[in-house]
Amino acid sequence: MKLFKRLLVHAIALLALNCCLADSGPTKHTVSVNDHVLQITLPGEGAAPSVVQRLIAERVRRAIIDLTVQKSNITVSQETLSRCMDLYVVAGGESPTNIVDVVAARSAITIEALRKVVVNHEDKNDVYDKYLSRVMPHSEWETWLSSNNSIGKIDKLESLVPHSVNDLKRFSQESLRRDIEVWLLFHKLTKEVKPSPEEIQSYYKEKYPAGTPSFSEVKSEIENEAAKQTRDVYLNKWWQKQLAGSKIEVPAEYQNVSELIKITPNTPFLPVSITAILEKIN
Amino acid sequence: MSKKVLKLAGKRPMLLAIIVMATFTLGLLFTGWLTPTPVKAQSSGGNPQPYIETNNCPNYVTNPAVTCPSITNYGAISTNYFCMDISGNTNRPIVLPLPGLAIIPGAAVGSMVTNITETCSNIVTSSTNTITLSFGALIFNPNPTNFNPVLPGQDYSSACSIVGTSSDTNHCSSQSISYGTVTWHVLKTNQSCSASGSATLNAYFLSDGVGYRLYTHTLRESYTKAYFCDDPKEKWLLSLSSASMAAWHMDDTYTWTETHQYSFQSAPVGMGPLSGSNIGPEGTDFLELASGIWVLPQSGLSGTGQAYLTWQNDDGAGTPGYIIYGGTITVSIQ
Repeated sequence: MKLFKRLLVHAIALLALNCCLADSGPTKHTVSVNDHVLQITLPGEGAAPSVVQRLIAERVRRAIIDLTVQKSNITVSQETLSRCMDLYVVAGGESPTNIVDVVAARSAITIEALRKVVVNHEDKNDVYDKYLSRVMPHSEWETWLSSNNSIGKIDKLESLVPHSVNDLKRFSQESLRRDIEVWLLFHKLTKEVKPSPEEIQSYYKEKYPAGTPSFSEVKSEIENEAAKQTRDVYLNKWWQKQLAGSKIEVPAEYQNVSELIKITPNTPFLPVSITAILEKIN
Repeated sequence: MSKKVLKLAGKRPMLLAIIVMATFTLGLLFTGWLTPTPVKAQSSGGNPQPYIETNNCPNYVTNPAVTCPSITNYGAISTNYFCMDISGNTNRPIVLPLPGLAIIPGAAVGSMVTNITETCSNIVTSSTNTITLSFGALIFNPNPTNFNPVLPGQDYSSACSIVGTSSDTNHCSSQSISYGTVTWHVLKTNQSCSASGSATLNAYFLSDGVGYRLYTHTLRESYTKAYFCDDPKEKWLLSLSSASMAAWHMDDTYTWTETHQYSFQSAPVGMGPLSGSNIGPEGTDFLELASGIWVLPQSGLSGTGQAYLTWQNDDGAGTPGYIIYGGTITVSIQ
């Protein structure tokens, strides 16, 4: 059965590669992580190999992390998620209302410009000059156009525009949920990982071999940095172990993505106000 | 014996008087009453002076005219300012260079007239001698060898002078010329500096399941202060390069691009990742493509980083993010 699956994956990969060669548009690649098949659609024409490798590597890494989260039985209740979301939308220094207003205003003009080109067939450069030249660089406008080249896609885009703070939270909660889950996984892995007093002293001597400033002067700084270094080392070992225990299959031409996959993952960035809550519930 | 002498004195009273007078005179001479005493000559001169004589007519020395030498050319030193580069070394004692005499000082020769008067004959013999000033080496106070260690970023100063030593200090004193202060300005070249700014970047993506996202956006300006001495003053230049850092989370399939613009540039320049991949630990660096720019220091010099984010959707399309706050960071370069 496993052999069949593997053959199937390779067959799909070959088909995808053929599609890629025949069509200059977005290309689909198939990779598998522990026999979970991932269909990865990549930017086609003009995408640099390094970009393609990065996207493949990111998806593979993401899949491994997701599987680990599932195995670890880490879940985020709706109550915790709502509480964190309330903090998340104010943590960036802008009021949620203002965020909604800015996004709605920019979306309105962008979507109107897209409709003029896609629906009314107006010249894209004229539209840019008239509506968007002060709003975004021309390259950004090209990206909007290339990814929203049908009425259906523009309608979909419009459905994602928040018109209230509730919309803002609703549209953002899935990505925040995932950040929290990954944060909790890494926190669970490393919360007991602390440097020994000898390791802290060793870190100090390595950083300040001359002995100035004295340890007491930089104690807090040294302890924090040594703790981070210890956590990073631990996480790196853990990650390499996960990779060693995973079966990762990527198209032959992208075998070298393994170097990117090996890089230790980051702990997702969450504001301190949220991590303080998460530390208490775990 | 004494009776015979008295008889002879009675017979020759004049002879007796002569003998008595001679004896008295010789007695005075031997007791020193009439011995000439040498006296130090005075520059003012004029009064007769006793003079050691071997005969009974003492000579008298006078200096009726003394003209001391006068400085006619004060000279000049080659420089009174040294801008020194100690090539990045710190706390290093070094030998400081010394100025030389660009123009050698000069003095008009003085003179002293000496008259010798022979008292018996009243004959006066006159002669004239010259008096000169001889200039030695430059003198520094304090001595630069006492500046130890010589530290970068500091000035060291000494009073500089020269002394003209008189050839006849009894009549004309030595003279000093001051050349003011000599300063040694010590520089340390190639000082590496950096300044950074950071902001929480708020972005909204019109993409399914993404929405509002927060990222850390940091701009670091790295520059080298390259001081050098451009006679007579120092000059310094900046060698600039910039790096922007963004936390690149593995599950955030966005493309982060960054442009950078120095305050003296008319348009932003694209930045590229330092490493080949865009996956990396937090603090993935981007470097301005046009790094290593040399500029003169200027007020208000700053660098501005501008972030652009595009979410890579599952269908391969990209959705540019609306950056609401934190996309632009300006860092002052000093």
